Amino acid sequence: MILFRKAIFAFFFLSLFISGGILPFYAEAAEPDSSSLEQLDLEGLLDVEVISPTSRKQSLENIAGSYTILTEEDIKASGAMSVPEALRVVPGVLVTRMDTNKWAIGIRGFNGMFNSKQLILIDNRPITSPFYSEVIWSNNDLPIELVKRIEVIRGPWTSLWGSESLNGVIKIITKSAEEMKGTQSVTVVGTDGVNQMIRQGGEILGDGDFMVYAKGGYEAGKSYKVKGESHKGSRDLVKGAAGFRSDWQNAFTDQLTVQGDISASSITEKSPPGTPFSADRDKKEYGGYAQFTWDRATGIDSGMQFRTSYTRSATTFDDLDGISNTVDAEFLYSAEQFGIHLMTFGAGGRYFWDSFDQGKHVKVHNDKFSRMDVSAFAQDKMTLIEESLFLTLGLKLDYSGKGKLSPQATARLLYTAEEDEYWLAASRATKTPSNWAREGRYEVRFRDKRYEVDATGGLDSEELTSLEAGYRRIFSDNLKFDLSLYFNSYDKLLTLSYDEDTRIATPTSSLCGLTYGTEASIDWKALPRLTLRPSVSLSNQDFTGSSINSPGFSPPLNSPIYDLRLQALIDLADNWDLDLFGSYLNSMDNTELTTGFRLDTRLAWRPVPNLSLELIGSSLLSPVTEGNFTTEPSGSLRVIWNF
Amino acid sequence: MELLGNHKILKPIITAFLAIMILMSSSIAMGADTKITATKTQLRALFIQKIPKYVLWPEQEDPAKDSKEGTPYTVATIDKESLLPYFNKPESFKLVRWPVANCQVLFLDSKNPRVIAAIIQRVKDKPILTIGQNPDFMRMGGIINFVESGSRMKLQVNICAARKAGLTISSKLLKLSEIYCGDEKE
Repeated sequence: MILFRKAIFAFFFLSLFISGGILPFYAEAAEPDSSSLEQLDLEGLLDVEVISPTSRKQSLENIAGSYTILTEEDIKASGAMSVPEALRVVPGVLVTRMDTNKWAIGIRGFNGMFNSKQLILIDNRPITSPFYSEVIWSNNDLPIELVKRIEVIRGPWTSLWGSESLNGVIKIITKSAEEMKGTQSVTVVGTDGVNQMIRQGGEILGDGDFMVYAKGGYEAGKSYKVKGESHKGSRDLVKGAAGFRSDWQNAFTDQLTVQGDISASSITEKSPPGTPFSADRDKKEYGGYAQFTWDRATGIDSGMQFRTSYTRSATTFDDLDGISNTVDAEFLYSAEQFGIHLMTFGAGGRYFWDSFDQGKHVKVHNDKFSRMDVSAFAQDKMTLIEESLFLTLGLKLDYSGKGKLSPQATARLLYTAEEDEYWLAASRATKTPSNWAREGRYEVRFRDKRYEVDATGGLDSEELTSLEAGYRRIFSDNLKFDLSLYFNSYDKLLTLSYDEDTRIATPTSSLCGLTYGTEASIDWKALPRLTLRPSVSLSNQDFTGSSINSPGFSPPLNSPIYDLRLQALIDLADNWDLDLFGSYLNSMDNTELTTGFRLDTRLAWRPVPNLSLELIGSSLLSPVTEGNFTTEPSGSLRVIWNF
Repeated sequence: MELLGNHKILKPIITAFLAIMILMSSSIAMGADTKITATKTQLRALFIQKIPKYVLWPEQEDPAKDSKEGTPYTVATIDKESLLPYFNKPESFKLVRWPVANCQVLFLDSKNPRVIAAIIQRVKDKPILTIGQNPDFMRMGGIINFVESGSRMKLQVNICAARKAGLTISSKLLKLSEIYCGDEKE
């Protein structure tokens, strides 16, 4: 075992070393001679031929925080067919497929589905369910081809995004209607099933653009290896969705956007062990939303935005059927730079109401539930030294229904020079426990005994005090390095307290402990046709208490883990790309963990500019460790046709 | 090594990966070309340094009025880093980051057209030569726009916007450019 781990490490660093050896010969591709160009007059300049730069320009993020951006190209290269799959390449983010339509996502040493500690937004609309604090992915099946960018922000940014973003924020930004003109068809056929998406975009009313899409798919269902044994997951997922987006420009500075979608799915649910709340029967779910956004630019960093949305979804957990509705609205104002200050203000509110059909196994205390949340924030980015030293102070006040006012504060310092930047951050964040924790009544198994979970109320907010630091450097136009360190102290985390006599498990705010670790990543165009993106994440958790590994509320992993990832993007020939992604996750103390070794591949061919054929292989290597949850390999052919 | 046995597929993958890297490292760079070439950014930077010679600012704003040598033109831009390598004559041009109180030339190289429009709104009545690289730049009220035409760069000049800003564009520059008044081609 140890030998194997050493081999993995050796391979990882060897591949870095080998490419490093080749690098110096290609370090700087020469720019065109500038002295002869400078002597040209205006007429001469009009005759100069424009060429593409040989190297890709790297830029620093200019943000005092730990940050990864996935562009449209990055998402395509990863071969991801859904948003959770695309997140796999992001350092510090753990993604586990728990069933055909269920994903557990965690940031920095946490994982799990319910009461998750990160906020996920699509076009600024939170898709994390306010009742469960979980993303119900079957109702948020956004076609990945509509995504323009995914921003993953690790660490507490509750001072901006509020209580739900305790461990981080995942922002999914979709393309504007203007960027989706014409018709696109995406067909996926593979061992997992078939999927078809078609979208059509065009102009509307002079300065406007529209886009409509529809998609449908069938997945037979996979087998999962849980603690070394093979189990079948849910079968026969049939899903369909349709959506639209329309953008209008007004006086060039304003953009008005109306967007929405509806989706429905049915599945024969029999989740593999370890996945909470399997219905063990046929179930149907549906969801949809509509959103209006008004966005005005008034300068480089200044502007204002108003957003309002309505979301409805019908979900089933085991035999509990629920319908939830959310209406929200928010206003953001970014002022012009005023002296040393760059101020941003925001205020928002959300009202949600849920109704339930009680099940036999899973119940909630109240058949009907509703809550009103309001919040307001202010942030000031102060320029202490022109163009190099910035201090950001932020404060958000969250008020949720009967709860108390919870302040979320942060102070962030950024020093930026020409080629490198350093940052430091201190934050204090709190998270209101999900209503599910207060309301849910169900059975759990703990140490081979059954317990009835029953909330008696009186839960405190989860608390986090966090210190972070980071360093980024651009070594050349082809090489960028990013390092972040964090030290998080958690208090009053939600956990279950088990009473062996009464066999009752009570949610309590009693778990406390530390997590600390680092993420380091390199983005390196090693050769004109090869880009390498190695990354290492190390995370250690130190939580005490007997019920740490109990099921429930997205608990800390409580095991030191290391996670190596290497993405290689290879431009094989004109119109041929080969992209490889390998990752290795393991614990340093032999605790059973989610995955072992993983390899994803993508071979793409564009025979004509508007047609691309991709062979995508996912989870190609079976895990060596008897990891506790892994999926079987799959292969697909994806055909993207623009016409 | 028994565990590695589970990974028979691993070896060929590593071998193939290394082979690809070695193959690519041996590809030979292309030979020299006689045509004069430049990257887009480089060419735009060169234009920005040539164009002011063909523009007349109102007297009190003209940097050339003071002495024979003149004080340098202040060129404001949004993405200063990308232009900086091509501005190496501090005696003629001072490159600064927008927003600034005073500048003669403003290069609006933002990718967000709404930001460009908002800034033009703000400066359109001031004697500032706005230069852009956006298909809607003339419509937005910008003065000089770079457009790509095949592998060459072309210039568009909005004489009505220039007039509004109190700038006079020389006939030589106009002769080499497409002339607009706002949205309309002259």
